[in-house]
Amino acid sequence: MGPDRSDQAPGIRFLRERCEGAGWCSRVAPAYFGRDAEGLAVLLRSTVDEADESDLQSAADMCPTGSIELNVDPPRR
Amino acid sequence: LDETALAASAVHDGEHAGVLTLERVEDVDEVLRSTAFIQGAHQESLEFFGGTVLMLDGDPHFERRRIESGLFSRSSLITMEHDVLEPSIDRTLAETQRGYGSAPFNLVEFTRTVLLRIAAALSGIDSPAAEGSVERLAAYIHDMIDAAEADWRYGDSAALAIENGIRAREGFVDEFFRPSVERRRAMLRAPGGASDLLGELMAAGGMTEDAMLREVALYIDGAIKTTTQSVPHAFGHIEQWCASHPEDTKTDPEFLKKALAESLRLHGTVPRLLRICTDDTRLASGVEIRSGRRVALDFRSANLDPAIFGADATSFNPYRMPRPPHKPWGLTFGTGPHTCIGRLVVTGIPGVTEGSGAMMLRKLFEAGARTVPDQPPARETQTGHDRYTRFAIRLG
Repeated sequence: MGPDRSDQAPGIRFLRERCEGAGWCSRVAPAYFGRDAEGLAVLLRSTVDEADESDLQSAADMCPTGSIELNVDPPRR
Repeated sequence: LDETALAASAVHDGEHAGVLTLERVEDVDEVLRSTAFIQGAHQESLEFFGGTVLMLDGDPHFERRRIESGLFSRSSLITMEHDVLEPSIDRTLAETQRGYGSAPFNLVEFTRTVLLRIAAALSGIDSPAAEGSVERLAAYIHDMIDAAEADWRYGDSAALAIENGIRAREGFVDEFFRPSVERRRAMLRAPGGASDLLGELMAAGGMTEDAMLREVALYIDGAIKTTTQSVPHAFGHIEQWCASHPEDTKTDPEFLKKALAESLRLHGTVPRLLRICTDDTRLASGVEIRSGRRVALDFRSANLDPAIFGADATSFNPYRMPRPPHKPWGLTFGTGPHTCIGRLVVTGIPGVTEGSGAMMLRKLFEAGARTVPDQPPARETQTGHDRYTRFAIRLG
């Protein structure tokens, strides 16, 4: 398997080759993730608003394939 | 796949006569992603699974997964692997070496013992230090898992399994579940809370104690069953493969991940999944399904689809490259929004965690584990599951 092809944005790393189109990211953080014609996620924004960090953390946590990585991964409660 | 597994599959086909069976990867994938279908499985085991994340669809499914997703964050998975999985494997291995030396033992039981500790930690069930309590927890969980599989049991053994499961659950509630709830009630009032399923559900609120019990039981079942089923299969395949491929090393984590994935494809954790159509649908392949029709998604056949996995799809090849975008393990973990929430626990995060299956296999092979030629494996005969009940190996 070759290296992952990634869309890079400050605060978010989206590993498109791992995506299987579960669709949770576009639902929980629609300003940051959309879906392409194949149903796979696409990263829409390159900057992260502080107010959205919680939704982005949920998007990363809900992804069952580990396709979303955040620069800041706060420790669990 | 050997003929016993295929025969078990055929018997189950008869039990689902009248249900539309889909065997092509594309059809199964499309139904799992479609909003025109709802969960139709686990009708006999509804007593155990009703209302759990496995049974939900639409908005309730989304909300429940959101509450529980923190358990599978990158940092949680790293912590779980380092702080729970690895110590549990090391401890069980040391106990086995002390107890058995180089004598044969059952790999199925070994795997279940390792995973019991992980399942308890993940779901939030505290194991008291009282004499025999771990053994009692294991016994309760064994009977509860048997009952949860009632839908796949042959003949009239389902009713007995459910009866035993309900009795076991009563003991589990009194001795383990209720004390764990009480401890988390106190923990939630303290800074830091409780980072396990029970703690998350209690913090989110809105669920009855009975609903939380079913969710905890589902997690215990899932955390134990997949790896317990897949590790013995993978062990056998790896031993055979390496005997004729000396260039591959049985203790190489990357090779073991590939081998485990291939084994998961060949030996899926459930024979098939039932879904119910709620809106007249025409699949891309042209198959028409009327509202109300029950559809059986045949994972076992789909995972052997030669169009996706090649003409030799029924054989074991850890270097198989399925047609993109399909995964090496096929549909074993489901797909789309119904992808198994705990998949990364088993498969690992590439470059970050090893995964429960590969780590267990590596540590066993590092300890010199090998099969016992005069003790052939025994297959499950009571249910439609493709798994072993006994798989003898020895260490050293």
